[in-house]
Amino acid sequence: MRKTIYTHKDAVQFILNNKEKPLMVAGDESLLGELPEGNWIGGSIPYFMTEEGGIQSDKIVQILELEDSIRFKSIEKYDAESIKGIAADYPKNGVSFICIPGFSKTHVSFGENALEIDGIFNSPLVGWVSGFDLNKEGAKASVFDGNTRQQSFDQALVMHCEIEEGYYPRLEIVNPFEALEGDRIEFKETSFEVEDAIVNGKEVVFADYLKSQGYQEKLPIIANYNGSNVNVCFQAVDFESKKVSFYAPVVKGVEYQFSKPLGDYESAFRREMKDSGNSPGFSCNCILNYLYSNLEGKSTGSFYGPITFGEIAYVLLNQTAVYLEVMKKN
Amino acid sequence: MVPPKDSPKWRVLVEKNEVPFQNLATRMMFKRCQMLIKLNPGNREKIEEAALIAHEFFTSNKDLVKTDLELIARGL
Repeated sequence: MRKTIYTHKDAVQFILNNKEKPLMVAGDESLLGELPEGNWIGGSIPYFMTEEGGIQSDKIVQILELEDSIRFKSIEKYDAESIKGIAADYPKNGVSFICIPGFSKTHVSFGENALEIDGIFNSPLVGWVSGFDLNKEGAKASVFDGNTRQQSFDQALVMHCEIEEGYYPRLEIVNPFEALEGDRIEFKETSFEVEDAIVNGKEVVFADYLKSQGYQEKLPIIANYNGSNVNVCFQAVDFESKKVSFYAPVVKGVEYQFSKPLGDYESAFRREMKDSGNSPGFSCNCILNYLYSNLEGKSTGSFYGPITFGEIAYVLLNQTAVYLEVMKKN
Repeated sequence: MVPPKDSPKWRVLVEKNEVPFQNLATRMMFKRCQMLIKLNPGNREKIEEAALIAHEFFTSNKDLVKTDLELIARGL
């Protein structure tokens, strides 16, 4: 079985032994700050999907060793403005791994602009939004650059990699949620927070509409991107101020629907992932799936990686598992 | 084989409401094209822009979206 979790001492040794290899790292910020220089980027988080199932711990480091055909090229930093030019740095026949500090300006900017970034889909962009222990008051999400060993609370880090000739990357998502046939919801702006919506062509106060529909906060609204379901999850609904906030932005002009209740997430996920038994080099899953489906101690098959405050497969996603695997060209 | 940039196929493709593509990247890229056209109704320049985005995408991702390229070659 593939190993991804390490004590801090073993993580240090692993990185020292694999200095040239591109690595994706996750763990408590106190541990990440004490890791040696190497070709890695990391994000703060104490929740993981591992070979031992879901784990919450601030004592372990998760290291995802990427496929041998993936070669490190560079680590670049992007702020809320420069992230809009990220595709200009994409390597040819490569893949770019991203880690953004949760709730930072760059997180918001990327979420709101990703779909419209020039060339965003021209090469796989995969990664996650870092976070913190939800029970730790005042905690902040951060990211770490393994080349410089610097911590950042507001910049995204991207590890651009090339892929050996004869191979290509395949980026996919696993989303067991399905749309519930019914009202069609649209929004006038792309935003993490709204007050109004257009339901079946009629303008409504969204909070009031949600109340009238008996909405369930744990179920995302879903957009159909030509056959791929993209979730947006509720963060809070304030019935007094009428403000509705989300963990990813709703997109202007895109049509959303409520989603069907899932039942047992673990079984639904396993059905959807069609587990081949091969563990993808990189994968991650959402904190909301971890919490709402009580994934601690439970397995999501051979998908190992951080539990995140947002998943990235080209654009910012919610309540979705993302994975990248390398395929051999025919 | 990616149709050339000036092929009318691209304009026809981006104006479709639904496309039966297999790959996540293709599906998302077309969503972007569809939004560009939906939010600018009747704007020929935006249709041209969407067609260029689609061409550039397939040129950059030939291996990743091979099955989707085959669909285009077969006229969907």
